[in-house]
Formats: sequence, C-alpha cells, structure tokens
Amino acid sequence: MRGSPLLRAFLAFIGIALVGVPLWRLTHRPAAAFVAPRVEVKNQSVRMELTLTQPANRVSVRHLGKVVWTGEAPNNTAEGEFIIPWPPDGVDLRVEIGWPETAPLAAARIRLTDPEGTEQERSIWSAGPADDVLTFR
Amino acid sequence: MLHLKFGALLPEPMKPMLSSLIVSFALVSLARADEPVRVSSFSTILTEIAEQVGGSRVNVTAHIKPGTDPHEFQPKPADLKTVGESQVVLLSAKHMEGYVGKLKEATGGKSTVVEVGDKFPSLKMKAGDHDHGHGHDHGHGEVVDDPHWWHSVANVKRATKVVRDELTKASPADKATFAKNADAYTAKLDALQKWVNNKVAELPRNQRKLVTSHDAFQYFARENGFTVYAVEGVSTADQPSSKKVAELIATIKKQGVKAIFAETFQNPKVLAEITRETGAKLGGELLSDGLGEGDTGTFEGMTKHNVSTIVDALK
Repeated sequence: MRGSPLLRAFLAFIGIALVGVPLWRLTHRPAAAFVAPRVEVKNQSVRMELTLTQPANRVSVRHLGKVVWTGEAPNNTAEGEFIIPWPPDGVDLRVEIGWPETAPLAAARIRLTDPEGTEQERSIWSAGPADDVLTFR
Repeated sequence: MLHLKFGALLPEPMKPMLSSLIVSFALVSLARADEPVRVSSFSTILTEIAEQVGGSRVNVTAHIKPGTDPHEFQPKPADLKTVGESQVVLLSAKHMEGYVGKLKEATGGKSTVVEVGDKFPSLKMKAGDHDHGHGHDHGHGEVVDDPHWWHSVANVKRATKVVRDELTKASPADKATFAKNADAYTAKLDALQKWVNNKVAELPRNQRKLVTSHDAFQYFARENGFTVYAVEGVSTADQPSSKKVAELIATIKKQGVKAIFAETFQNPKVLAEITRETGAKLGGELLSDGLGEGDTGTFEGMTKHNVSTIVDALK
C-alpha cells in the first residue's frame, strides 16, 4: 500500500466515525421517544342505585382514592350519579357504609349502570361499618 | 396389685430409692411436657407465623434470616443438628427447598416435616433451563409450581391454619392457646387484606402491569388484577436471554408501562437497560423472597412496602 501510515490511520478514523455516528444515534435514541402514549380514557357518567337491609347515616363511594359520591340512606335506599373514566378493564369502587359499630349483620346491593347502559350488581355484607372494594367490568 | 407385689420383692432399704426414682421420672416427664415446642423454620414468613401462633409455647429457630435469599440457601451441619432436635420443621415447599431430603434425613423420622405450601393450590410457571440454586435442575420450559405463595394474604391465612394444626399435634395441651393466637393473627391478616384492597383500588385497572426482575408476584397479581411481565424466570439465579429482554422492551413500549421494579436479591443491570430503552422509570425495590429488615421485617411491613411501592410508581 502507498501513502504515509499517518494518512492511512486518519482515513481509517474518518471511516469509523462515519459509520459510528449513525450507529450511536440508532442505539442511544432518547428513551422518551420510544414510549407508546397511553390511551386516554374519557370520563363518563355512571348511575348508581343502593339498596340496604339497614339504614345508614353515611355512604361514600371512592374511585382511584377520590370520593366521587356521598349520601345517606335513611330509608334503606339511595341513588346517585357520578362521572369517572371507564376503561375496558373496568373500574374498582371503594364503598364505605356507615352502619353503627354494634349493628347486626347487614347487606347492601350496589347496582351500577355503566356508560354503555349495562347494569351490574355487587353486594357487601358486614356486621358494623362496611368498607369494601367492588370491581365492575 | 403389681406394684405392691413388686415392692414386696424389694429389700426394705431399697424401697425409698425406688420411690425417689419414680418421683424423679414423673418430674422429668412433667418438665418435658411443659417445655415449649421446638420448631425449625426455613422461611421468614413461617417463622413469623409460628411465633405469632405459638407465642411463649414455642421455641422457633429461624434458619433463614431476613435478607437471606432462600433460592440460594443450603443448610449447614449446625442447621441439620438443630433440625434433628426439633419437633416441627416448617418449609415453604412448592419446590423452594431442594434440600428437603437432607432435612428429613437429619430428623431421623422423629420430627414432623411440614411442607406448608404444598397444603394449598399452586399457580404454575415455566422454569428456565438452568440450576435454580436450590439443589435441582428444571428443564427448559418445564412447568413448575410457583413457590412465592406468601404474596397472597389469603395464602398466609391458610398457612396460619396449617401451622396452628401442626403445633397442636405437637402439644395438644396448648390447643386453646394456639387457636386463640391464630385467631388474633388471622384478624390482623384480615385488616391487612382490606388495606391491600383499598391501596390497589387507587390504581386504574388498565395500569396494573407489573414488570419485575424475578417472576415472584403471580399470586399477588392474580388476586389484584395485575398482569406480570418478568425479566427472569422463577429464581434469582436465572439470567434472562437477550431475546427475552428484547421481547420485554417491546411489551413495555406497547403497553405504555410507567415503571418497572427491581428486587432486593437482583442485579439491576438488566432493568437499567430496559429503563434506558423504554423510558419507564425504576419504581423501587420489591421484597420478593421473604421478610426484610426494619419496617419490612414483618409480613405486614413487607406487604405494605411492596404494595405501596407498586401502586405509587404506576399511578
């Protein structure tokens, strides 16, 4: 081969740099660019009917840790409506019913009408105050 | 009467000696009956259960201490000696202790070896093609029982009943004490279950995607509506293939997973690579293989730490 070793080394360096820069960019892209955007779930109106075997002075419903509905059920029934996101996986609602500490075993039926108009029912049983998580899908 | 006849045969000076001997035997027997039940435990969770249920009526030797990796543990001669002197030996089971044969040999059939996890249903998982470090090999793709049953509070309640019953068999006189203590501990577990339910309910169901470095959270996931994507297989000794890591990276991107989790006994290098490639954050360390130290040194503390870490990072 002809030419000075210094020149050949320089040309080799240029060649490696030309290949290396795009390779580096390919393998070290900013991570955020890779993350798929999460599908936003729209807020939707949900209707709820409560039927209790014993009156309660306070009922509350939480979704994702936030209270979305509170009320009383002095006549063993209550109705409500709240707006929450309803993903295809369904929702968990934490329902607290303020039955007295000394109350005998009582039950509550929670009927939900989801955004598509489908009715779902879940039950809670408790002797004393109730605090349960119910899943609706 | 036999003893009268026997007594009549003895020379007069021997009679007080015989009486003393009989009284001594009776006293030794009474003292033995009053001794706490000697228990050997090979799981930090079972150690807690035995201590809670047994109270002062058990003497529990914890062979696996908090912070020890049970997948890698092998009993030493001192462990086998203690096991040989125990009345009840508690094992996690579901193939966690590959050295169970050694323990049974050490007991010489005198003590009861209780394979607690085998008393309730298992979830299944595929083993990797390697030695798990617990004394035997599993073939590639072989379906094995998932040994991490303690990530379900319901399973820990089941284990409490098993331990109560085995302690009662070892010391029937303490039946009422064991039953009372087991009820009290179960009530604590019920309160913990409620806490877990309420905490998990703070996380939308469509965000319950758990990526960990060791496939140990199936029982938790099943009870709480999570999908698990594990970097490795069943054991801490597993090394993920580059193909599996690439698949996970693709899954995390597709699912939009917000955070991934390391575990105490893991090398987090692979997780660091995944976080770099996906943009997901490192959500914190989970205790997968037993109790930790300090605040996580109890089952309640460990469970609250794990559930809080998962929920808060994925929110």
